[in-house]
Amino acid sequence: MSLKIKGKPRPVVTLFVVLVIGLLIGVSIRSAGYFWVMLVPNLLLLFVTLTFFFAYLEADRTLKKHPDKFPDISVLIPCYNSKDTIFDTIAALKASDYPGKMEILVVDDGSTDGSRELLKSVHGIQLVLLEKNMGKAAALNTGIRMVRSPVIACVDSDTYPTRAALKHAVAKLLEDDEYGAVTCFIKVAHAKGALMRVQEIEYYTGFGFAAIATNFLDAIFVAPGPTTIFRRSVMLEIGGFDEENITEDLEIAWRLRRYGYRLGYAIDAVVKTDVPGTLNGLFKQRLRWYRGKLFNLMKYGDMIFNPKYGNFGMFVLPFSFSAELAAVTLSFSFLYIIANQLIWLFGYLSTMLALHSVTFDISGFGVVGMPAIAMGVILVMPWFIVVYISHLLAQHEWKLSDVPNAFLFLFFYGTVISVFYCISFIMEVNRSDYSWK
Amino acid sequence: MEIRKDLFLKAALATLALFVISVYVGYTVESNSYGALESRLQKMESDIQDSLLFSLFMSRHSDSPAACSVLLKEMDSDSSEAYHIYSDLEQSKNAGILRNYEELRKRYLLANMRFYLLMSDYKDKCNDSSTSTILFFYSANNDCPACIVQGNVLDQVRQECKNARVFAFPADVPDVRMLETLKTYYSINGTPSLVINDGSANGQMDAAEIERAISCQRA
Repeated sequence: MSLKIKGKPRPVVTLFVVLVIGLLIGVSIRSAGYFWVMLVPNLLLLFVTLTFFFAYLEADRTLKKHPDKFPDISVLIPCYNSKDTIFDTIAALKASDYPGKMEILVVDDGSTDGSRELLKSVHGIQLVLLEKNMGKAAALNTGIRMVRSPVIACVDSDTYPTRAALKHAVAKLLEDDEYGAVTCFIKVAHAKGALMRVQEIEYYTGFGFAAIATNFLDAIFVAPGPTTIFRRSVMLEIGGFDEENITEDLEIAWRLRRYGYRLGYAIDAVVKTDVPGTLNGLFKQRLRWYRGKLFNLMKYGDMIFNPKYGNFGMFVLPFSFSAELAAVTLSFSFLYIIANQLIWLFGYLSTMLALHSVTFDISGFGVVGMPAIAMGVILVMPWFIVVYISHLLAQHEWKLSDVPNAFLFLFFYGTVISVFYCISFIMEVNRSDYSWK
Repeated sequence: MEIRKDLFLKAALATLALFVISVYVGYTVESNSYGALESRLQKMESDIQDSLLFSLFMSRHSDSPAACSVLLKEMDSDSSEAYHIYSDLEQSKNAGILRNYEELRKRYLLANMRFYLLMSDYKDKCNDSSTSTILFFYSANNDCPACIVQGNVLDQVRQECKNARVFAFPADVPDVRMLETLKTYYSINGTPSLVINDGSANGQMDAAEIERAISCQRA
């Protein structure tokens, strides 16, 4: 499915913006040195991490009250060409120990992979077949209108809630009437290979450690697509999911805040979800996430530094936006350094050829010396601690084989993600059409 | 929930503390290599001073072939170290982030110039026409990859030809009158540039060309 963006693409404006940013970073690197230019965004990210760390230390993760009675729950599964995963999702939900009455509603969003026919034969679910592919938000809205339970669980068709997940999430929702939604601890399912393992660590830190911190600050940022629990009455009041938004899960979280609702987090509500196994798949996913975030930052710009929205408006939202800027600065800096070093190497090799020199000594090529490494090790220390804590939270036992993945996560994954951010930023400035599968 | 200014302040202070600690550690690490380089440079300066005094003494009291041979031997040991300091200094400058290497480069340049003038003086006084001087003008490694290659070529020439004496001059050190004089005198317009036996300036040269120009005496 693709969404048309308002306005025509503007390549000249985009080129101008890219050149101005490139020039600013180039001039900064020439005058201050690459190390100091890259240190500034890293210090900003360190400040955010340390804020989360102190919030984590203060956070009370125990449930304030246990409900006597659990309300009926409707589980909505939007499904589009998911025949390889949806049956496991349904099986996981059927195995749930949810104490109240539970119904499962699958909304097939015009699948063409044969899953519609297969779903018809599954017992214990209700099936809604949409004529054509309308998008996930539209499929979810269809489900919200059809069900009558006071609580709705939106579950992706490649997500597998653990047995007790719904029970814990609903218990949290009932803790406070101001909660419009409750998010879960999302982990990676079927993690194999370095790329998936690295995402596994990212999910531990993002949906474990950072979620505890943002929950403590009452500033949960997103109602994650894989699984989030909503009050149906609230969803009807705020008009359901935005069908014109590519990150409807982010948008709904911010809209809930605008309407004065809070979002809770239940760490014991563990769900597992499939993640991209290839770099190309990850790129497409992140392009959607980050473009959606930039789009929504524009849409909800008035919430930034607005004390009415508490720590969400005063800290999480602006610093998240700063993190985007930091990522763009970092990736532009990386590109500048790479281009610079390639030019250097070309000059070196061509002189070697011209002078018939056989000595290959590229000591001048290196951009990282011992002092920079020593400083970097100290500044990266808090992230090591965060990664370690996140593994503990996820009850993931450390093995020797986890160490290379942790290093990949800390030193390389961020760079890759920064480049994705950067491309998303350029595409958003260019008003490129949203298109994803 | 109330805005947690105390938490943000705590995080800001912790960030600052970590930054200060990291700068301190980085500075200590860098100071070790900087200090080692500085002592080597100090030794080079004092060795050159020693040779210079010996040359002055020789001018007044003796210019015998024996004295010439002693002076040449003195200068040969200085020459080798001076050349190695050039590459180490540039490598440290590349890797350095917290110390200013310009002062060291300037001191190195001045010491090497003194050394070059001493060598020229020796050649005149002792009628040594076989020893060849090569002036190598270079700029910072990260701006001039060709300078590194040229430096490697000169190192090879130095090892192959016992009559080659190479003097490396960082051409991008500001505010050194003598450097500007030399650059103007030899019409140095870019780096790397080589001046062989006070002749006219050349751009980059390969080992065979240099060896021909200095009539290489194989070691």
